[in-house]
Amino acid sequence: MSEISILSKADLLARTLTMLSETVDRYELFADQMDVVNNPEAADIFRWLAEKQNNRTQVVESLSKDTELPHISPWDYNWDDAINTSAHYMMTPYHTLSLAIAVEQSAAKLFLQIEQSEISSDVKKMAHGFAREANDFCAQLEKKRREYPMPEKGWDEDHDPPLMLE
Amino acid sequence: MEMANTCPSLKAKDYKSGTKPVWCPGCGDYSVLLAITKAMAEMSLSPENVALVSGIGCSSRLPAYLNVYGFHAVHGRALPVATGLKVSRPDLTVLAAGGDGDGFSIGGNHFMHACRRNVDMTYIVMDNQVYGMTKGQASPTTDPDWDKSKLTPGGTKINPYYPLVIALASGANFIARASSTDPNGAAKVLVDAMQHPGFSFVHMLSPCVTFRPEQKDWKKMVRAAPVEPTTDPAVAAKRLMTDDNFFLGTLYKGNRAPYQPELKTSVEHISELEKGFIL
Repeated sequence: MSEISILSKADLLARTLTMLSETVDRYELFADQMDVVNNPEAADIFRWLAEKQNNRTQVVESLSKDTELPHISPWDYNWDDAINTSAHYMMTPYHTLSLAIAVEQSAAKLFLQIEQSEISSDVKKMAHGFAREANDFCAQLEKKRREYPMPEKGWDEDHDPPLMLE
Repeated sequence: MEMANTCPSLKAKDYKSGTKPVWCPGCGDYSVLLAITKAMAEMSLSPENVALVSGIGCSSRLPAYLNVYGFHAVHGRALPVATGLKVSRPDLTVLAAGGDGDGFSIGGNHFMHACRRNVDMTYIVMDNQVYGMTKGQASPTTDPDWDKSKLTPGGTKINPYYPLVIALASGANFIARASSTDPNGAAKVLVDAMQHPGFSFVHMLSPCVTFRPEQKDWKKMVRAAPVEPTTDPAVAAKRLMTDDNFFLGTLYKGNRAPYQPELKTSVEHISELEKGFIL
């Protein structure tokens, strides 16, 4: 993220909801891509991730229900780590979870930065809670990743590539 | 563009249809789709008041993936169809879209004349410097030394087409470049383009990871143009002629009045319709 301008709880809630929305969009997009290239293992994990993020979105929405949130235009919000993730058609569940772990680590770092900025104590407390939650989810993802083998070198070598330059 | 009949409660995903894209994983067109839906949500457009017309090619599959009116036209012919639609239905927000082959080669002549005619619509060309759908041949914007296609061993040896320069010289009223590697920035450019009256041209860099894998590096090469949009065509010409193809943002905003003929509810003879198209 290029710039942090969180001054109130409403700012923080709006920013958090936008971040969650970005990750849901990305995970659903990747799941669809993996379906198209017949990689159901990766597609299933991306859908699971999208569902998890949707659940978190509902929690943040419930926290926001009595608050008027500021509008954030897409270009005013630039959380590069979420929107610049990319998928490979041969990616394994290990890669999929690694991608999500990187996103959560980035989110936790961002919330920590917000917590350490010049803001009121109640906003700090909320940012601290979001950072902890991102770290907890990260730990959950790391545990799940241990269920899958680390890909061997050359995992992306396709001996029967679907497309050849003509 | 018309701002009536807006729909503020819609989110970007509400502008997507239920049809899942079949582009290659990593294709830039996914992010362009995302940017278009974000721009529409930001403008609170009602889907029934928007139409997107495309040509033929990978990127021209866009209408199928959007929950707005769509027309998948024939190769290179998105602009004439979109022009006809906008002229007859000026209340609609009309977009045309396609790739560099469709827009600059097969439809190259339409591109120039659409710029010249200056009908109020937005044309998005997703440029990956290759014909992807037909498995990787050189397109008008391909560098002359690209030699990976068997059809052009040793490269094309032909200077590439400079779409922004052509657009300016032909009379486009808005010229911008965006990149699929920055979908949020692209959304902003698209909002600017749709809000600007007249013909808006958005050159959208959109890597083909399958046939031009080296284009993954575009992410590191693109950067915001260090200038504000100009309204002066002479300044814009110098800017675009010295451009390295990787500056992003709105580069030119002209102030020509859009072309919009007076509409008649019915005509007696086809010649009456033709009169309306004489410039």
